[in-house]
Amino acid sequence: MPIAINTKYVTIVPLKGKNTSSESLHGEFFISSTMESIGIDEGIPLLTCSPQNKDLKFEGEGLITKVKNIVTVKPSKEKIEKNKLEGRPPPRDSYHHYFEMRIRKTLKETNLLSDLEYSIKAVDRFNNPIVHFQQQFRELDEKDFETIVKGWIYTARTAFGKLINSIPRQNKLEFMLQAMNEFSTIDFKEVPLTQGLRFLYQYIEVRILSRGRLLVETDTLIRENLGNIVNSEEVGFINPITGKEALLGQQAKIFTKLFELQKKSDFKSAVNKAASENSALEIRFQKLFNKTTWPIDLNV
Amino acid sequence: MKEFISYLSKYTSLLKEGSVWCNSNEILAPVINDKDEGVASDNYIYEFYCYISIIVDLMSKYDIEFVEGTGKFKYKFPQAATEKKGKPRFNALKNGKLEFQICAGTKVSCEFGSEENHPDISFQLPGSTDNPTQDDLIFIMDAKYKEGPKSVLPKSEVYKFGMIVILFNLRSSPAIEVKFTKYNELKGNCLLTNGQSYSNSSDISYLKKFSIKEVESFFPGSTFKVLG
Repeated sequence: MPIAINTKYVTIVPLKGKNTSSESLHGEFFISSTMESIGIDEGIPLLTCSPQNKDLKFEGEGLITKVKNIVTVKPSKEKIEKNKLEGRPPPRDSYHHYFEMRIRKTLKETNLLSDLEYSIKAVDRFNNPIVHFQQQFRELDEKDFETIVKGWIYTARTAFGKLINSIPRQNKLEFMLQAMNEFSTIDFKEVPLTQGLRFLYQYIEVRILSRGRLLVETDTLIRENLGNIVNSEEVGFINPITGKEALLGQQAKIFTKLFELQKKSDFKSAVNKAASENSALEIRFQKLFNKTTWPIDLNV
Repeated sequence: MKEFISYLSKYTSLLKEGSVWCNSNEILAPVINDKDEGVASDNYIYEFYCYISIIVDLMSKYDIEFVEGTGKFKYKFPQAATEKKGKPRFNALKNGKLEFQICAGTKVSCEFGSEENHPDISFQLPGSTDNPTQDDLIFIMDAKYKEGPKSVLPKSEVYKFGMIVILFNLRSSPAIEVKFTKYNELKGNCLLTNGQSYSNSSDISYLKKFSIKEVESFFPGSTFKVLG
């Protein structure tokens, strides 16, 4: 199985005399494990990645060129003493598995995890997808590997996922209840994602964007007509139950930006255009995610 | 594809910001709970739009004065009905003389103490105090936000509003004539909605009996229609 190596936890040391081109890199690294065998064989494809801001960047594609020696690392005296004092079993040996590898290609297009998260089957923690790669290495299935290397995007699932996971949890749950009613099922695996996406557009329009339009219009009325008698920046609401305050103008500004963006390029049309330009890929992904439910993360 | 992804990210990050009140972390469109009326729903957004639209309409006939609230209520309006004292409002004046007050979400007491029916918008007489009663009212308006412009006001809401008008004793002609501009037909007790009216325009006799009007399609970009 192909693997992804996170260079935050694994240091790749370039091999002397073997690095002539800037595109390819010959290097050596080791994986530290308590297991004597970790199942990385010669010839398996690999990816390198590293954290970037709050995201993860896929950097290079290559392969394992050599499986080298294993160095046994004995636990330190301090660790043995500590376990003894705490009444725990003695610490085990660990092993440094050494490999040689070669990077054949630098990944440049759509190479961030935030670009690819809804196109990779290995990801299901959409609120924090980086956790899936926070280790020295992880295995990837062939299709995920291909998706990342080629920088392919499943347009419909990315649009659906990014939309649904940007709204509050309460709204996500409400959407799911309404969708269960609409599609007469509690199992969204049975409903094509494109149908779910259409229903999601409708939900967001009716529940959120329509409120946004009211806020923008009210804010404009105040600024244009009442600006000399009220401080329009300060106008807002107070929830008499919680005492929490909300500023009308600030929220209206966000929606104004959103509507301007929407006017320049309508969300639905942008998704349809991207999907039709990549129709062959959409079909590949539909098959791949056939038995997968809608990408909704209820942890946030 | 890069362009599409960047558009998607920009759009969804604005949606994320917009769907939660930015300085309070309260949800903009909370799940509606009709049973528990103590929970503030999001109808206040629509009520406030109606209120401000009406104030702006009155500006060409009156001098509009803003009465600041106290403390944190200085420029902030309550999301649900509460005491009038210390809350902001607008006054309508002519030649420096106060003609009437326009209040949002103010509690108004009526002769049946147990009945708490507080109008979303109330037009009150110039002498109305911080503890208004039904005798201080000129007429009242309620705003009903409906999910989707094709939703129809239910019969129960129209009848309830009619009953409130009766309880407040507001069926006779208003004590003061309020002059609107483009909202001239809104003179009187109005039930405003972004959706459609319950009544059919061919039969509005019971609206007359209740002395109420239904105002449908009252929403930015729509042409409203008044029945009653």
